[in-house]
Amino acid sequence: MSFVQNFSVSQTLTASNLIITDTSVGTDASIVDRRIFLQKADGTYLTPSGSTTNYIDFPLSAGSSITLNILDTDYSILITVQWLYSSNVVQYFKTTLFDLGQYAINFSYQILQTQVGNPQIVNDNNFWGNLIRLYCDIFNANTAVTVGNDQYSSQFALDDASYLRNNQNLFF
Amino acid sequence: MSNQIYPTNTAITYGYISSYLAQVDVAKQLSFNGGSINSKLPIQILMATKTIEEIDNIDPTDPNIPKCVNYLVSLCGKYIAQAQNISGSGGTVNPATGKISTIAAIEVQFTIGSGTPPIDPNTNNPIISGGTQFIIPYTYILNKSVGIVYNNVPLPINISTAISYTITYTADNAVVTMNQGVSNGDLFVVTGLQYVNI
Repeated sequence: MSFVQNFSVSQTLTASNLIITDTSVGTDASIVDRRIFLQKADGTYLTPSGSTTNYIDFPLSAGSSITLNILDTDYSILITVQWLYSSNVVQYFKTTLFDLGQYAINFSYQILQTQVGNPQIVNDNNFWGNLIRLYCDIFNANTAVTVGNDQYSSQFALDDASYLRNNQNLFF
Repeated sequence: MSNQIYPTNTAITYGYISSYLAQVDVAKQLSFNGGSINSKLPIQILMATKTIEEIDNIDPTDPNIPKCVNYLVSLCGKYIAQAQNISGSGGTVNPATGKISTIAAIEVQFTIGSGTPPIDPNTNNPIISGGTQFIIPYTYILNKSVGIVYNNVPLPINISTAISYTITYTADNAVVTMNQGVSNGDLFVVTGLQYVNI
């Protein structure tokens, strides 16, 4: 069966982790390596500290999945995975835009638990207004990617959610 | 960890439905310029539902989910019954398990000395002439739902002046105790209700 390149992305409650899984089907015995590019909305690349390349190596020896503890905040990120022949020849690649908003989701979960403990807090207009703002950010970040393939707008929403999260003493 | 009123996926379904039902009520309230429905409720329900769904998708074992689900159900309030109908999961909560269930009819008919009557707990064999107890082999029988017709006559409960019976309900079954021994040829028709998980 011919090789058809593909990959999937997931996150866990540990929001700093990004799990990339090679879901390709078929075989190509000439493939010797894989690379991952994580391109941010500003065009720069997310890499582990100290990295000297724009990419992250995803060697075949790692198996089908790799967990990268690399996300310091939420990103709308353009992920490219390359499958290489020897001599760094890129034989296959696939690029997809992802909304990686687990920090914001975890924060909304924290805020939900605040409501569980204090249901009347939604009557605080400051709390309520900013709660709506947070959810709009989460929703819009996802919609911008899935409907609009719009990395800039998605990142804009995620940045606003991060602002609320990082200044929660002011907003919640 | 608190007990969870509904399974998470059930609560999520109810949450989404309750949100739009509440939205309709709010819209009607605005149209008719009256009423006391909390205008925040639809979005409150929606946000809680969405958040629980997100967390449940990646870690359904998170220990904070049950209390959040119960909070969501409390927000849904009166809309839960409608949500059950709309989602096709109409039912009730089995108080013994906390699980959403339907109620089903049960029926046991037997004749002493013929066929295979129910088990006598004293012998672990089918009840025979002279026996006084038998097990109704259904789980989660609703308390006080069982009725017995004995030789075509409804049997009274716990009186000493005539043949009668008492009954003990457990999660596993119900045990009927007659106040006198049964005889060959006695016909019993036992009916009742039980909770059945959806």
